Parts: sequence; C-alpha cells; structure tokens
Amino acid sequence: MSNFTPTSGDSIDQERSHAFDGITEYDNNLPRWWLWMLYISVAVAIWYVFHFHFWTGVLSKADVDDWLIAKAKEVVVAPVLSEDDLRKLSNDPTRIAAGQALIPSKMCMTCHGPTLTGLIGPNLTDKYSIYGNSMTEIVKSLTEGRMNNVMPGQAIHKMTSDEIISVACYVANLSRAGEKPGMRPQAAKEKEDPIKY
Amino acid sequence: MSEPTSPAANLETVVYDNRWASNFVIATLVWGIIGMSLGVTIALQLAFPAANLDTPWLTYGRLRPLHTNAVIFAFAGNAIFAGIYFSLQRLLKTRMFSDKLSAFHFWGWQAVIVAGVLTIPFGFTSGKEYAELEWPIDILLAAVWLAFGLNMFGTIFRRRERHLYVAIWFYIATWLGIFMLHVGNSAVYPVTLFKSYPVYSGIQDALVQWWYGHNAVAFFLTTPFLGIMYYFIPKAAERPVYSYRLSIVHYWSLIFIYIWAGPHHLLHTALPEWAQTLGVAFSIMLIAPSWGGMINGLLTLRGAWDKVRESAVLKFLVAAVTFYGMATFEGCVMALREVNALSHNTDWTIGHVHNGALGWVALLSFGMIYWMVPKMYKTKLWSEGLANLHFWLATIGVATYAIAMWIAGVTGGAMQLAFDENSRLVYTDWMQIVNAIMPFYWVRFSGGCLFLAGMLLCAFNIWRTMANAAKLEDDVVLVPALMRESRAVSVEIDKALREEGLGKKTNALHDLVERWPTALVGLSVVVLAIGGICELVPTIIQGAMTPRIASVKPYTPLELTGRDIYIREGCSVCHTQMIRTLRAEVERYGVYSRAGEFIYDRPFLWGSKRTGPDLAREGVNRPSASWHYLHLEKPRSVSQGSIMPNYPWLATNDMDLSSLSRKLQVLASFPMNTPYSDSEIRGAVDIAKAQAKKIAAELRQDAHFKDMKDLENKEMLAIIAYLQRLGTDLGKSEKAEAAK
Ligand code: HEC
Ligand code: HEC
Repeated sequence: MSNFTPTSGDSIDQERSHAFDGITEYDNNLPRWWLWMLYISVAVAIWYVFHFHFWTGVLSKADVDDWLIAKAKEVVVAPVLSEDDLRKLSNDPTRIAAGQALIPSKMCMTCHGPTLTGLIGPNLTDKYSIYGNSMTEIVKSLTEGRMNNVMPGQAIHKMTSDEIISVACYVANLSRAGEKPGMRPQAAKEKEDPIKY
Repeated sequence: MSEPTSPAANLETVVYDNRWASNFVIATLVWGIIGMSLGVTIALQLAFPAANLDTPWLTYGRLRPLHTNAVIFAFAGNAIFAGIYFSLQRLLKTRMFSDKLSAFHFWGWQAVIVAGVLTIPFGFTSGKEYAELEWPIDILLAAVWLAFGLNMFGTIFRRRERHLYVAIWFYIATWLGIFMLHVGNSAVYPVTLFKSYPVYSGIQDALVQWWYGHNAVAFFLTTPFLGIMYYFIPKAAERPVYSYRLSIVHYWSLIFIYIWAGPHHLLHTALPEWAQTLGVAFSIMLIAPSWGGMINGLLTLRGAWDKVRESAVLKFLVAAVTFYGMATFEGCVMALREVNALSHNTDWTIGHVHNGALGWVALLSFGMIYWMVPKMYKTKLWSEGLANLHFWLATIGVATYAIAMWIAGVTGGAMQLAFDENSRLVYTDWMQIVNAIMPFYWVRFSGGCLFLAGMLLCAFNIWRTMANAAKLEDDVVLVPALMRESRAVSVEIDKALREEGLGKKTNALHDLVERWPTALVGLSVVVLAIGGICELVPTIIQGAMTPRIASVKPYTPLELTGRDIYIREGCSVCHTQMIRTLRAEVERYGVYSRAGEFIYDRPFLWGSKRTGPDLAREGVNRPSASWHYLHLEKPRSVSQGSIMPNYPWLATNDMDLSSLSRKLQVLASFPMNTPYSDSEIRGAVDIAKAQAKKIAAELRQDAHFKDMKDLENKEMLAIIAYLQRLGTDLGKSEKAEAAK
C-alpha cells in the first residue's frame, strides 16, 4: 500500500498508514456531538442575522432612539419655584432627609470634605455663602454648576430638578444648624452677611 | 509504526539544527520573565497608582502596551519559533533551509522587540492596540517575517517527506495570516521618524484595527500553537492523533471563520450594523472549529491518562488545551450582543485574554519547552519536581486571575448599566465603580505574582538543564530520500475518490493538497482573504461615504498637539471614546457617538477598556479648563481615591510644536485629504499659540493659576484644548439646526 492511501473502513481507531517523525493519525470519523455543534451553531448564526435584520429583533440603536423619543415626550418641565416656596420646602423634614440621602453618591464629599466643612470647595456648614444667601442661588449652583463646572452642575451629577431641590434644602439646613469647625470662610469671596433664612 | 520505505530508497543523512531552536527557547524564557514582570507591575499600579513613582515611562498608559507587546510578540513569538524550528525539520526530514536566515530571523526578531522596548515607554507609539510599534520598526518586522517565511517555505521545498503534516498547515496559515494583517494594518503616512498617521480614519481605522487585533489572536496566538499542539502532544504522549478528518475540517473552517469575527470588538458602536451582525454570527460559528482543535488534542491522550499523572509536560499540555476550550467558548459568549453590552470595556475582557495568553499559550509553551529542551540537549530535565511545582503555581495563578477579573468585569459592567426604577443611573460617580472592583485588582495582582513565580522556576530549571548537559549538538539521523513521483499516485487517488463515503473522498482529495504545498498555500490564501475582503471593502467604501456632519471640523493645531500627547501617554488604554448605543451610556455620557464624528480621527481612539469613564463627550460634560488642569496634575486632588496616574510633567513640559506644520501638511495630503488650508498649515504654530493663550487667560481667572508664568507654553494646555473639544462638534450642529 503506498503511503498516501487512507486505510479503508470507518471503524474506530484505524491508523492511517503514514507516520510523520513517528506521529501517526487515526482516521476516526468526526465525533457526532461535534458535528451537531457545528450544524447548530451555523443554524443559530443564520437565525441571528435574520432575527436582527429581517424579523422582530431590535438592535440597540433603534432601542435607544425609541427610548429617547419616549423620554422627550415624558419630560415635565419642573415648576419654577419662587424663593418663598423654596424656603417653605426647606423646612420639610422628608425633603431634608431625601437630600441628605443623596449626598454620598453625588461626589459632594470629595470636594467639600467628608463632613462638608470644606476642602476644594467651600465649607457648606457655615453661615457664609459665596453666591448670596438664597435658596435660589443654591439651586442655581447645583443646576448650572459654578466656576465653569468645577462645582459640577446637572450635566455632570445628573440629579433631577426635584432631587436638586432636596439637596438644596439639606444644604440650607446645614448652614442653619450653625457653624461647624472646618475651613475658614473664604473671606475674599464669601459674602459678609450671614444666613437669614 | 515504521516508516514505509521501498527497498530502492536510498538513505540520506540529515543534520537537524538545534542551535536556533534552543536560542528561541532561551529568548522565550528571558522575554517571558520581562513581559510577565511588566504585567505584574501594571496590575499593581491599578490597585496602587503610586507604584509608578510619578515617572513618565513607568506610567500605566505607557507600560501596558509594552507588556502586551512583550508577552505577545516576544514571549509567545519566540515560543512559536522555537516550536516551529524544532518540529518543522523533523516533520519534513530536512534541515532548516538556511542557517543564515535562521540567524537573521532570530536576531532580527529580538531587534524588533528591543526597538519596541526602547520606543513604547518613551511615548513613541502608533496608538493602535497590539500594533503600537512605529513605522520604521514595522518595516523591520515585515523584513524579519519575510525571512522567516523564506526559511520555512525553503525547508518545505527541500523536504524528504511528500506529505505535509497538519502541524505544518497551521504554520503556513500563521505565516500567511500575520503577513496579511501586518501589512494591511500598518498603512501609515510618516510625519517624522517616530510619528505617523494611519491612512484610514474613524470607523475604517476601527474596523481595520480589529480585523487585525482579532486575527492576531487567531494567527499569532491560536494557529501556531495548534500546530505546536499537533506535534508535541502526540510526541509526548506517544499516541496517534485522534482524528485526521477532524484535523482537516477544523483547519479549514477555523481559518475561514476566524477572519470574519473581528467586528465583535465593535458591537453597539458607530460601526455599520450589518458589519456588527456578521461579526457576531461568525463568532457563534467559531465555537465548533475551535473545539475541533481541543478535542483532537484531548482525545489524542486517550489511553495515556496515566502518563499525565506522572509527567509535568503532559500536565501542561492538557491544561493548556483545556484552557483553550474554555477561552474559546467564553469568547463566543462574549461576542453575543447582549452579553457584550455588559462585558465590553470591562475587566472581563482582560480576564478572557489572559485565559488565552496564560492558560493556553503560556502553558502550552511551558509543556513544549520542558519536553524539547532535554531532547535537544540529550539529557534529562534538571528537576521534574520543580516543573510540577511550576505547573501548580501557573494553573492556580491563571485561575485566580481569571476569576478575579470575571467578578470585577461583571460587577463593573453591571454597575455601569444599572438603572433604578425611575430609569436613571444608580451609580453616577465613576469612583463607586472603581472602589467596588478594587479588591479584585489586588486578587488579580496576587494571581499574576504566582504565575510569574512559576515562570522564574521554569527559567531556572531549564537553565540548570542546559548547563548540566554536554554541549548542544545537532541531531544526525538517517532518513530515506524522497522518491520521485510516480503516475501511480494519481491512479491510487483516482480509485480512492471513487470509493464510498464522503469521509474517504475528502481524505483522498486532501491527500492531493497535502503533497502539493503550492495548492495548500494558494487555497489557504483564498480562504483567509474572503472574510477580510467581504467586510473591509464595503466598510472602507461606506466609511468614505460616511454622512458628513457639517459642524464636525478638523482638530485645530493645538488640539492636534494635545491629541498626540493623549496618544503618547496612552490615555486610551484606560479611557474609551465611544458612547455605545445603549440607554445607560446615553444617560451617563450624552448622545451616542456617530460615525461622522470620527472622520478626522487618525488613529481612532475608541479604546477597549474603561478603567476611567468614557471621554467621547468630555468637552460637553466637563468644559472646565481648571478642573482638567488640577485633575491631570494630580487626579486624587479632585477625585478622591482615583487610580488614574499623576501627570505632573504635562504642567512643566513645554509643547513641542516643531513638526506641527508638517503634521497638518501630512493630514491634508492624499489620501487623507483633511481640509486644512495652506495658511493654516503654514501658520499652524501661531494658531496653536493663540489658542493656548486663550486657555491660559481662562485659567488665570482662577486664583490658583493667577501667578503661573509661562502657562501658555505647557503641554497641559494642548491636552486641555483637546479634552475641551471632545464631542462638542455634534452639539454645534444641533444648535445650528435649532437656530434655523
Ligand atoms: C469637583 C469638586 C466639587 C464637587 C464634586 C462638588 N462641589 Fe460644590 N463647589 C465646588 C467649588 C470649587 C465651589 C465654589 C465655587 C466658586 O467659588 O465659585 C462649590 C460651591 C458649591 C456651592 C455654593 C457655595 C456658596 O458658598 O455659594 C454649593 C451649594 C455646593 N457647592 C454644593 C455642592 C453639592 C450639594 C455637591 C454634591 C452634589 C457639590 N457641591 C459637589 C466644588 C465641588
Ligand atoms: C490607569 C488608568 C488611567 C489612565 C492611564 C488615565 N486615566 Fe483618566 N481616569 C481614570 C479613572 C479611574 C478616572 C475616574 C476617576 C477620576 O476622575 O480621576 C479617570 C478620569 C478622567 C477624567 C475625568 C472624566 C470625567 O468626566 O469624570 C479625564 C478627563 C481623564 N481621566 C483624562 C485622562 C487623560 C487625558 C489621560 C492621559 C493623559 C488619562 N486620563 C489617563 C483612569 C485613567
């Protein structure tokens, strides 16, 4: 028998007649389960293409587009609250608690210090304020950001307007509670008149 | 089984060259230690950033590419050549074609790697993953690869064995595949000796890169090692290969299907959706060909399992093949769109790649080395016990690594995607995610240390083995000369073809191909090229026709300078610039990235790992120059616990604007055609300085920067300009539309 001919018969563990550096090969059939794996994976792959491009599958881009459209419809413009309304809200304990609960996850402590008594950002627990003593300004700090977004605005911390109000209520109460030892007020910057509400 | 020899056959003397195979083994061990030490170093830096000693060339962004290059091209590369140089001669019963070419191949390859070591940490990088080497080194690499090819095909030409054994098919595919990928992906336009821009941009560059990146895994980390497996497992176990037919089917299906799967690295991105779908579909089909290799390896050991208990070599080989099976299965799962939404850009991918690189490639190489070195040196392994210890250290090391990264990846991915009941992000602060996975960074570090310890034992063991042996000598053997073809061949095959059964028909046909290397090469080229052509050509055309977004303009000279600093520092190994089409990403970063936004990006910087957050819309999300200044100088000053490296030198280095005009000129020339006007090109430096002045003025409004002299000449301003620009162009078009 010449050296290239496959041995005949499909029976198990028939060696082919040829050796390479002593290595021989069996002429075994492809394992059945392996063949099934091949067929099934090909079928799934074909199904996959049809599913996403011709049948009911939704590609992620279409999904996001739909979601964004739905969201745009849902957006309720938050009512513009007056300073007085905001001050009223700031006495509501549930508001304050809600605001406090949000602080740890919103990076405030990284900049204002673990007790909010000032680090990179100013002390939030003293009676002084850079932007004037009004709830409106606190809400503005939190919505638009300050110093070109070093103090992050809504674009970065992604709180809803309602959440911002809660956080503002909490911050206002910190000041009310009076001064905690912390960073000195930034004399050059902070307004002299202490908190009034 | 004895060689069938006809009485007329003359016996000839062949001298197998052991010297270069042995040199490649030594290089494998040396580079293995270096590459894995680098890996352990950067693993430590992620858990403990101060470990970079605030030294530019030791920072994560620069060392990580060096690590990947050292492990892939230096460690695995040398292991491949060691295995090929050893087995090819014996399988073909002839010496390597030319000792001079072997020497050139060996020293040329080491030169490429040394050149990488001398450039990558110093910021000379193309910025493309696994292809970081700059163009002069790319050319050297191509030359060395050609020399290797000449040596291999020359050996095949001079063979005394009519048939090419399956291992050699895989070696051939390796050579062809890597040549094609390297040339295809390295199409760049040089600016200076160490800076170039790719001719492709944006989505084209992304697809070419991942066609390359994915198939480098296929043809550098899979096919050569399958070839090595097919030689060393049957040799070490002294058992016949389980199924010749399986070899045939899985060889052709593997090289055909692999090429198509590249786009699974770009799911949910701005890449056209049809290309993404093809990538997934072919990834699903890839499981059977991959497992074909695994079962052919494992089933070859039937009847030899008792030997596995005793022999460290077989333990390594078995574990390697098992890891191969697991990693390929994992890969198919990760390629599914839904899974990928979670796994992509996370540590899961890092774990996956190490399952392959450590579990499959490294373990197989160790088994091979422990087997072939004593053979070449005609001695016994210095210590079998140490090899066994190495096996356990390595296996436990990879397992620890893989599990840690799997948990870290799933945790990080899930946290990035998590929505609360109001469909808003649960974890808005990136540091929450970093902190959650931090413990696993330490676990991963310990897994890496175990693996490295094993690597050191291996080097020591082999060194002792070599030192104890008498001199390394070539093997001299007597083999029958190759007989002239007789016509009987075709008659036999003719008969075989007419036999019953598909199996036998294919066998017979394949017999023809095996004895005719030109056909094997030619067919392989065709099979290899189809996938690439079908995906790349339409994408390049589609890319060229990417709908222009009117407001997307080329980078200003200063931004371009900043972008090149971003590339130099390797920021893209930790930061992606691609907001995927997923709800959570749109919520976190802003509107998803459009193909049209990247047309001036050379190279594309989409990245593949989010150790930090995505930066595609950084200019929108964080416009503040002062924040970036403080953050880049010392991230932990504004972001507590951050693991980003400090970049204090950006604040002290002066910008290098010397080649700026040339850069613009290159980008404006054919075929890149970036619309820079002549006056912009000539006045690039002045334009850059004017923009830097503006940013400096913005910074000086802040007390911290007020008295800083010379602010406008620092690199910091260029990179801030770049960051402030990122992702802002699209908004301009929205505003323009609103205005209309
Ligand atoms: C990246 C650092 C940083 C983070 C995070 C940060 N802030 Fe600030 N914040 C600042 C800086 C700096 C200022 C001062 C701005 C100025 O001087 O104009 C400031 C100012 C403020 C002010 C105005 C103070 C005043 O005196 O008028 C309030 C209120 C405030 N921050 C609340 C918060 C809250 C609540 C959070 C968490 C949601 C937060 N900040 C997170 C840095 C930060
Ligand atoms: C080791 C990985 C790593 C490298 C390398 C790295 N970063 Fe970061 N980066 C991070 C991490 C983690 C964060 C999130 C924590 C923080 O804000 O520092 C981050 C955050 C950032 C942010 C803030 C993103 C945001 O909007 O919150 C910017 C901007 C940034 N990096 C830019 C860069 C630039 C530019 C480079 C290269 C000079 C770089 N990074 C290199 C890990 C890295």
